Amino acid sequence: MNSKVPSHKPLVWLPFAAGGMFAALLLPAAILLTTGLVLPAATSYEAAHAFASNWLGKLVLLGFVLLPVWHAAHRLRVTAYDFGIRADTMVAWIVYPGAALLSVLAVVFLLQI
Amino acid sequence: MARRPYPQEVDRFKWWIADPHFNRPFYLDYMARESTCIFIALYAILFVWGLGALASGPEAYAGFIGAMQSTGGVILQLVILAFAVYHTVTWFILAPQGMKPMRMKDGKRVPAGRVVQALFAMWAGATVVTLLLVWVLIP
Amino acid sequence: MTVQNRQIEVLRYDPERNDAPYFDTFTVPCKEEWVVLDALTYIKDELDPSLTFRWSCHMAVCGSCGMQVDNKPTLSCKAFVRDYGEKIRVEPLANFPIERDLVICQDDFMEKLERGRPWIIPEQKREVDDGPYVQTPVQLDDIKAHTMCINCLLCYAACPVYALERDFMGPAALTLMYRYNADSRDGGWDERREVFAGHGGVWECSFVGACSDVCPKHVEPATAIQKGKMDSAVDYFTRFLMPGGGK
Repeated sequence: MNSKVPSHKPLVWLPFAAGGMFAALLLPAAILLTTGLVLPAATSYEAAHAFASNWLGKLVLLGFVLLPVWHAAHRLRVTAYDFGIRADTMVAWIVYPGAALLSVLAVVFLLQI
Repeated sequence: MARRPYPQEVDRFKWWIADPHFNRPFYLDYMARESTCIFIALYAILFVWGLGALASGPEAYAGFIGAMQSTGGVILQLVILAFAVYHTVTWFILAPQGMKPMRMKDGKRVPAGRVVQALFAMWAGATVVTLLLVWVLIP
Repeated sequence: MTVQNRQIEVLRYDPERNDAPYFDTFTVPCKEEWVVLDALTYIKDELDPSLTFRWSCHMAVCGSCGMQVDNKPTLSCKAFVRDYGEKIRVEPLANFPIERDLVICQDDFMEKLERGRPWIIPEQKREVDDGPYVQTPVQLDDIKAHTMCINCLLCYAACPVYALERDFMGPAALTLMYRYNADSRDGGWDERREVFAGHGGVWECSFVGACSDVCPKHVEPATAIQKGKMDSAVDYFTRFLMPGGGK
C-alpha cells in the first residue's frame, strides 16, 4: 500500500509555502495600487515603464508573478480535489504547466521592456 | 456472533456542505480559505497581461489600465482583494501551527498568539513601506 | 439537584438482525451533572440491555468512548448533557465501519499505528550499563503535546481526507510518527520515511485542521503533520543534493 518512493510533493510544496507568505504580505498592497484607488499616478505608463525598465524593478515585478503563481498552482490542485475532482494527474498537468507558462511570459515581457 | 461491519461512506462533493460538525462551519471556512487561490491565480493572470501590455507600448498599456480601472475592473479587483485579505488573515493564523515553537533566551516558548501578532505587524509594515516606496519612486 | 428528561436518539445496528442502521429514541431522566455516557449507561441498565458501546475510565484518559454527539466527534464521558438541547443525537464515530450500535471497527487504525513504528529507534543501541538517555526539558517540551495521544480516534472522525481516502495514515498515526522522529533520543527517520513521506503519509494532508480542533488532549496533530511536512521537505532536498549520502 505504501510505495517505496517518497512523495515528490516537496518540490511544489516549498514554492507553495514561500508564495503563500509573499502573497499574504504583499498582494493586498499591490491590488490597491492596480485599482488606481491609492496613488493613481503609480500605474501611469510613465511610472510603470520607468519602474520596469530598471533591473531591480524587473526583479520585483517578476517576484509578484512567480511567487503567487506557484502558490496558487499547488493550492488549485488541492482545492480541485477538495471539490471532488479525482482526476488529480490531469489537474496537475493543467496547473503546473499553466504556472510555468505565466512565469515564462512574465520573463519574456519584462525582458522586452 | 458474525461480524458484518456497516461501512460509513462520505460523498466526495458534499462532505463540506454537510451538517456543520463543530461549533462553527469549520469545513465551510476551510473551503473558503482554499478557494482564495482561484482569485490569486486570476490576479496573476491580469498582472502578466499588464506586463505584456507594458511591453507592447503606451496604447496597449492604456487599454489594459482602462480595463483594470474601469468600474467593472475595480469591482473585480476589490473582490480579489477581499479574498487576498482572507488569505492573509487565515495564513497568519495557521503559520505558527506549521513551525517548531520559537523560544526565548530562557527556553520559554513564544506563544502562538505572539507569532500571529508579529506577522500582522509585518503585514502592516510591508504595506506601508511598499506604498511609501512607490510614492517616492513615481517620476 | 434537578433531573431533566432528555430524548437520547441513538443509532442502532445489529449485524445479525439488521441490513442497515436505524435510530432508537429513549427518554432518559438526566441528572444535572451527567455526561452522555451516564445517559447511555442508564439506557443499558434500565431500558435496553442490548445497547452496545465502548467505555472504560469515565474520565477522558482511556480514549474508549469516542462517538458522534450531535454530529461532533466527542468523548461521551466528557460531553455534559447540560451543554446540549433537550434532544441529543448519539452515533458511532464517523469514517469507521460500524460493528454494532455505537461500536466501530478499529482494525484500520490499529494496522496503521503499527506501520508507523511508534517507538524509540535509537541511533546506537544502548545497554542498561550505558546509562540513561539525556534529554533536556526544552527537547521534551518541543514534543510534549504530541506525546499525549490516547488513541481515541476523534481526529479520524473529523478528518475529511481520511473520510474520502482510506489509504491516508490519518492524524494520530502520523502524529506519533512525528513524535518519535522529533524525539531527541530517536534515530529512526530512515525506517519511517517510506510510510511518513510516501503514499498515504503527511503529503496527503491538506491542513484542514479539524483534527486539532476535536482532540480532547490537545495533542495538536495538525501541527505535528505540518512540522512533519517541513522535515520531510528538507529531507527530500538534502537527499537529492547528496544522493546515496546523507540521511
